[in-house]
Amino acid sequence: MVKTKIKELLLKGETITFLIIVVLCVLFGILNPAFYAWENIFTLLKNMVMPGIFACGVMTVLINGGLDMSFMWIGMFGAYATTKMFAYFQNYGGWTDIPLVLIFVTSIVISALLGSFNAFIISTFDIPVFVGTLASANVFMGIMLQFVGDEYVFASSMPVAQAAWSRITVFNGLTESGSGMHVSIFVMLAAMVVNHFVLKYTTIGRSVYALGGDLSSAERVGIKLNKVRYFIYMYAGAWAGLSSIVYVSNIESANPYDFQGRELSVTSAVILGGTKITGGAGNMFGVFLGLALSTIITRSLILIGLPTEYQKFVYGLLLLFAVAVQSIQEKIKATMK
Amino acid sequence: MNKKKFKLDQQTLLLLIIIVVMYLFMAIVKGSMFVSVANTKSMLKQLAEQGMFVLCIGLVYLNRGMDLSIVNCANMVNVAALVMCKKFITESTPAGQEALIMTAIVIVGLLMGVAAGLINGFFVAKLNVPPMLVTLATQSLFLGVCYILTGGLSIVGFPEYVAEFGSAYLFGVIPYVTIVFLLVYVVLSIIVHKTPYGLRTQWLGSNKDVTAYAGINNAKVIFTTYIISGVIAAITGFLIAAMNNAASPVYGGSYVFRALIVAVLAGIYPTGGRGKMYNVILSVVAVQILITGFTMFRMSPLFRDSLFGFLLIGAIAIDYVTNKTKERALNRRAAMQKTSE
Repeated sequence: MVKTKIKELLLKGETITFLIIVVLCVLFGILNPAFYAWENIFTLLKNMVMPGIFACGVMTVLINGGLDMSFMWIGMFGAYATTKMFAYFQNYGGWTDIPLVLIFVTSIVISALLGSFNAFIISTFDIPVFVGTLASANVFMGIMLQFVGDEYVFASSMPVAQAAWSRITVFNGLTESGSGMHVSIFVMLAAMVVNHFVLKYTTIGRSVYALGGDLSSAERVGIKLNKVRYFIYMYAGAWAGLSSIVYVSNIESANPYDFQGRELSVTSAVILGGTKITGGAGNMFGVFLGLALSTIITRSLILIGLPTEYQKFVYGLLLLFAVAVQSIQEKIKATMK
Repeated sequence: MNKKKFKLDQQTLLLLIIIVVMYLFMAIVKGSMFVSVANTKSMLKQLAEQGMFVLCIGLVYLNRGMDLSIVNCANMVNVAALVMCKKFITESTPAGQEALIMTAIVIVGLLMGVAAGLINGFFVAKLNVPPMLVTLATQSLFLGVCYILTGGLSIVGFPEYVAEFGSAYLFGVIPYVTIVFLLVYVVLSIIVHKTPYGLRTQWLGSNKDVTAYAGINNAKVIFTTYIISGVIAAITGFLIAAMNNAASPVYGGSYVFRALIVAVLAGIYPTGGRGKMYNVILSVVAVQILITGFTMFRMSPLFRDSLFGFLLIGAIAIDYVTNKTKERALNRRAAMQKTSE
């Protein structure tokens, strides 16, 4: 009884990802004990915030069976336009006490509206998600850079609330330098909990899984594909908007080029976390582990003192190792059935 | 009686129209600045590199794959070739021996492309890892090899004739690098549309399970695909060497994303099994006219890139409308047949 339970647990996708993380942590810890300092853990978590919130939207689109290439430009569009607009209000309109919530909500709304454009082209022309979002990513990028602007918004001209946000920390006592744990980590965790709830326990969330698993069966049950699509892309857009505005506020500078070419690293972390690229499967906890794994690999190579020119190589090797272990586990699972 | 009627592919027609319209527009607006031998020469030269990468992407799209590592593979071959050149060829090397060494370097470079394809193919075919994830990892791996070889800097020092090849023109108009691209293009089109492997890779893209049940060795087809892609990338590495006379680990970062779009524009969809390889050249030319045109209008490069997005949506919309009209005509005919019965 206990044996089968353990066997079941070992064959779960998340378990193996978790074990890889543990092995790497032990290894990195031996190479540099500073790896276990609260300071490093908080830094790693803070590095997960941006991809973590993005991942909520990305995994929803992936579960429905599509690869989103536009989410970063959607998010940056929302965050950059919002920051620039409120910076203008503050510096030229004399509105000095802009509430942070308003800034965040504006970014989320803009991005959600942009997301509906994705839904529009994909459902109207009935094209693969990858193709549609590849096109819309370019469209959003062009419109933002040409009509919203392409210059940085620095901390000095940013809305006061946003600049203040980057300095809100808790648990300052735990770290030696007193830098503490940034509050945006809680935003990420809350986002993940909400996303988990929406995907698992709401009708629309279950429809996302159903359509990704078997399109024609789901449609026969009465789920409207195009209606769900509008939900998915606006929902993913909203997460992208939140992620980007949190990121922009965290680093206190809005650079429209910041996310250029980084879509695939988030997407690959989501896939690493067990979300099927063909749709229908994936869960939030697995994605969290996938993100943690990719963040630990990326960020810890400096800490363990690897020469810079070897980092990219080792990162590639570790990523290949992780996917190989996962796939071998899948194979074992398949033979046992 | 079974004579096949010559039928122009719909995407071919669409692309030809796009090219003609854009060319005429540019010719009218910019006149002799656009329609000149010098401009034609430079356009032909620029499209070679991009075209090679589009061929790779088109090939992997056909069997529902993805290869993001191509540009880094090309850079890796370029860097490795330069490092080998510096190591083995000195001032005092006799000409005969030098030719031998250069041949060896080219062979080693191509073998590196094969090796890259083998790694990608192994993870995709044998371990069933999503190709995007694999090639993203190998992208980093190949970049890492470049960094280790160069220490992160871009390096120079190819023998002179390498750069001479890169700047030479056949009949004074067609660059040799473009001829290499055209050769690869023709060979690949024949491979995809005329050989058993080509048919298998398209079938595999449409439905993997069916090909497996039909007794096709899926793993072999996938391996072949990624090896061809790797070899084309390796050849591109040499083209980059000839055109730039230098090797940089981070050269051409935007090529992959652009190639993903240009391949779709050629009518080759990432969902596999659909598309004609020979359309690649048309979409590459169309995009090159767009790039050159908007450089002449002094548009910012990123806004220019965003026009690919509009172009893509436009092409998709036209494709959709024509398919709808065809469908409607078929339905009408079916309805008429029913009433006549």
